[in-house]
Amino acid sequence: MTPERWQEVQRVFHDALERPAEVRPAYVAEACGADAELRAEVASLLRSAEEGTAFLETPPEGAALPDPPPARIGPYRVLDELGRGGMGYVFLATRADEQFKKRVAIKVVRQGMDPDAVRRFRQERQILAGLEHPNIARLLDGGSTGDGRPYVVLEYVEGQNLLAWCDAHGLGVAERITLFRTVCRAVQYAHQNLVVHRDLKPANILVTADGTPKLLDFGIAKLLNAGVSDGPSDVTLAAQRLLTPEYASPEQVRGERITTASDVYSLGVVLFELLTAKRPYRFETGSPDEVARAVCEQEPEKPSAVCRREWRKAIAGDLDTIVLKALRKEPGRRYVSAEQLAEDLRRHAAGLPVTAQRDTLGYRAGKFFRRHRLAAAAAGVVLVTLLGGIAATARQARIARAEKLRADLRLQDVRKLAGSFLFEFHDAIATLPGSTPARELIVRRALEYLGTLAKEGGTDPALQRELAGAYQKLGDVQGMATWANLGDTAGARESYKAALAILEPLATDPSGSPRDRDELAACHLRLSKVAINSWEIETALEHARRAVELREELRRSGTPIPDPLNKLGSAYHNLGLVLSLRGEKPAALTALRKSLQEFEAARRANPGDVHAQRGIGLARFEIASVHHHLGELRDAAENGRESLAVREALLAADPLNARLKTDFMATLADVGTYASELGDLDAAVAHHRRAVSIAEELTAADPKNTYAQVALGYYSTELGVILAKRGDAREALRLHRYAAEVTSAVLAANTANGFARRNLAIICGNAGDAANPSETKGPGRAEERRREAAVWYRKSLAAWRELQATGKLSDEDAKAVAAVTERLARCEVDTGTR
Amino acid sequence: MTSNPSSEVTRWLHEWSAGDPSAADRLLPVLYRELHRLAQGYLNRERPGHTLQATALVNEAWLKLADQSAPWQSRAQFLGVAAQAMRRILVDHARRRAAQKRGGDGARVTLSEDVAAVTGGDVDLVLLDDALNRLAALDARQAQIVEMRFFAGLGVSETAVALGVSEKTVKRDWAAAKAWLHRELTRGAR
Repeated sequence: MTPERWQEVQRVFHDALERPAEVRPAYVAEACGADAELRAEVASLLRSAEEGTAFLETPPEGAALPDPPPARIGPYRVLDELGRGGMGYVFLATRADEQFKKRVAIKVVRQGMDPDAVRRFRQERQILAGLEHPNIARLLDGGSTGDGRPYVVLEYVEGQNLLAWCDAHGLGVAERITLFRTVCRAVQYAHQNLVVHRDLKPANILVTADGTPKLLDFGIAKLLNAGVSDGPSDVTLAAQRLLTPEYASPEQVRGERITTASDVYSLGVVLFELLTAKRPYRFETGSPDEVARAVCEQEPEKPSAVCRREWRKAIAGDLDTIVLKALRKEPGRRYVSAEQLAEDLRRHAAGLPVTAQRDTLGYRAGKFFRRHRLAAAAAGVVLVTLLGGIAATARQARIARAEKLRADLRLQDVRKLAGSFLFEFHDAIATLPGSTPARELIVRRALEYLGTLAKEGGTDPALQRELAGAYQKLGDVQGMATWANLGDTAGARESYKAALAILEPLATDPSGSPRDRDELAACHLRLSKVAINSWEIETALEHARRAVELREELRRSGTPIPDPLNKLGSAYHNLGLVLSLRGEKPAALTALRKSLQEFEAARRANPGDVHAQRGIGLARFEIASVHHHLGELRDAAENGRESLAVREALLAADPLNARLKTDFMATLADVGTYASELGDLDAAVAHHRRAVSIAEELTAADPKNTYAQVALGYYSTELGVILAKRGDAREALRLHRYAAEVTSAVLAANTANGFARRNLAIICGNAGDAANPSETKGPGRAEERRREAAVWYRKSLAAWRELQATGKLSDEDAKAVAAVTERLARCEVDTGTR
Repeated sequence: MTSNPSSEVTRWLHEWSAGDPSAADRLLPVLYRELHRLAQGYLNRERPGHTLQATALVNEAWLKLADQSAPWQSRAQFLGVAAQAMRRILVDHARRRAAQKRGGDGARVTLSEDVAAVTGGDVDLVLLDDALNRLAALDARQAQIVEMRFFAGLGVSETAVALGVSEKTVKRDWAAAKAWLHRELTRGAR
């Protein structure tokens, strides 16, 4: 029925109702004329109107809503309801069987939970139970209600919220900072125990009568979340997220992953409010949407700009900088931990210089483009304009000889600006997903103009150095295999060689700077990596050895260069990798252990050193892989787990960093494989699923990221193989199909991608095995399954043949080809097609 | 959950009166939660043995959530949103119970089960909800009127004020909507 037709029906219906019941049928017949459908419609409505006089007249009665407060929960007697949120209830209770009426707070989840959720809840509860800190309200007990909903019993804290207490006791800036540092330390303690609060706000920080701050609800948000199954709480959940976003970090508001950095942010808001009695953002209407937007986009004001006049002097400077660092939008740019925040506050109080620094120009430029991701390409245009100016200046310098000196000076200035733009700006967007083409544009343009300048400026070593640096960066964007790149390996090699040609004479010049030898070592390392990518192992080994030699020479000479330990670690790691690829596994292990040693030394020197942590993750990852090749599964699994832990923590601190995500993903897949071979199929499946979903995220974020696409295909098929082992043939086949699809797309874009072709051959073989009833038990008629298997095996063989046409297959690959050929033959015999 | 809902509600009502229709969307979740809470208080403590009346509940929510400065005409608008919230609460609950029954999970008894059950007279609230969605496609105002009259228990005059139409219109629409819904819900039974 259409709304218009409904109007028509109603007109007749109402007119009929106004007439006595006995004449209605006649009236309707007359009014509807030949329209039989209309007549039937009105007649049925009139009948309903007569029959249903009481229908809907009484509102729903006794509308029992779920979950009223129970009289008892486990052994506790409920005294009162303290509150409720979207997830659950909080009750004030006391132990029913105790003489001392010690009061406790009990939190119960609102809804029924599935067994998986119950298990997660218990695990979390176990972790929380381990939190014992004088400034954290303790988790005392836990259990399940009669209907199986888990609950937690918490220390009941009587106190005043942090802000109110400070105001009521007339605390000054210094006293507030002292109290706040205690709060930071409590948060740090929880973080060390792997518990994130997720909902830090003054209302969750109570100060007891004796002045002790106590943090409530540690990890409870997650605990309750873990227990929530679907249901109508979506509405309240969304509302909850929007109703009190004032203390939530940008990542929280956006519904992204919450980490310890999110707590650091919330601490920043609390500190801001402690110092200013205001929130960091100004709103026009204060609507939840506006607040959420402000949290994600608005730059907070300096606390000293909004605090009370007499505190302005105490807050301006260091405290402004500290608060603003905690409040940075990007988790990775905040304080690494609550402890570092506390430490900077202590340094400030002690009159020492603080570690926090104001944002640099390069950072702010990078951030601008981060926010306007699509505009990133436009960056190139800005740069072109800028550099165009430089080249013009250079020409001017040549033409106007009379003004040569002045023009040269200007040239220096502009070049410096270009260099800083190139390096700071490029680096700022380098880890951003989807930025690959923009990066190439920036670097290529920069290089063009620097090249022009080099011609103009002759043999000025500083300019030469910049040129070499730009060539190295261009090479990275073109084809640094371990990172998102444009897949142009040959181009990358040429760029690195160009850099090498500039650096060699500079580095061997006895009057040269040690930085040139540093750069030269870096360049050899890059050339080695590019050679690995194009499978020129001998060349790779040569450059790898040279890089290590140069680094050891630098170490022996005691020349100070930035970050020497990590660079040594990287050089040894690369050498280990190349040796491993050459089949020299024991030698590889030695080099890799050396690498791990250097990275660990770097971390000891500076525990917050992210490069060192990444190095440790990397070295462990490769060590695990070599052990795996040697058949030492337990050693492989152990090193893999170590790597995974380091990499997960790194990613947690900087969740948007696609590079860290890639690292974590690769380790997940490897650790999954080790678990699978050790017979722990559940762990294998869980790890691979995560790896697949991260690969999907990466591909979605950057469709040009070929590495992620190839990985997605490979991890999917690996997951399929494991699922087939567990007997889920259908799901296995689905995953292989998906893997084949993804990998074929990569090949369609670049037919020369040998990696992808080899993967496709393997994937199709796996798909054949999953379909083949002789290989995998599964549903469906055997004959049909054999037919499907044969199709896949043929595809696999076709891919192998194409691969073979470009070079010799390895022994391992040849074995795979033989196996597929034999299985295909069997299928054909069994289905009578041979 | 620590912010005072009352001031928020009042602010939204002001915004709404000032012509910001999105205010209603923001009010709904708050009301949903508040009505839930009130309903339980009703059932369990304050009035043992009494059944819940949607009308009383909605009124109580109004008294509690909106302070004196709320514009008077916004009460009617508030009631409209409250009706929507009540519909959601009741239907969601009915749906869940239906799902539990279907699942045949006899061992799982919710804490509330022994206290009371949702009854909308003889009306199947889940079916009614679906039919109401269909009716809204034909005439959105009629669906709203059912929401207010049935789910929130509002009288004809309150409904008329809330929707800004005459009482006569409310009566006519109510009669037509009732007949249509009754027909829809009994169609299969015939």
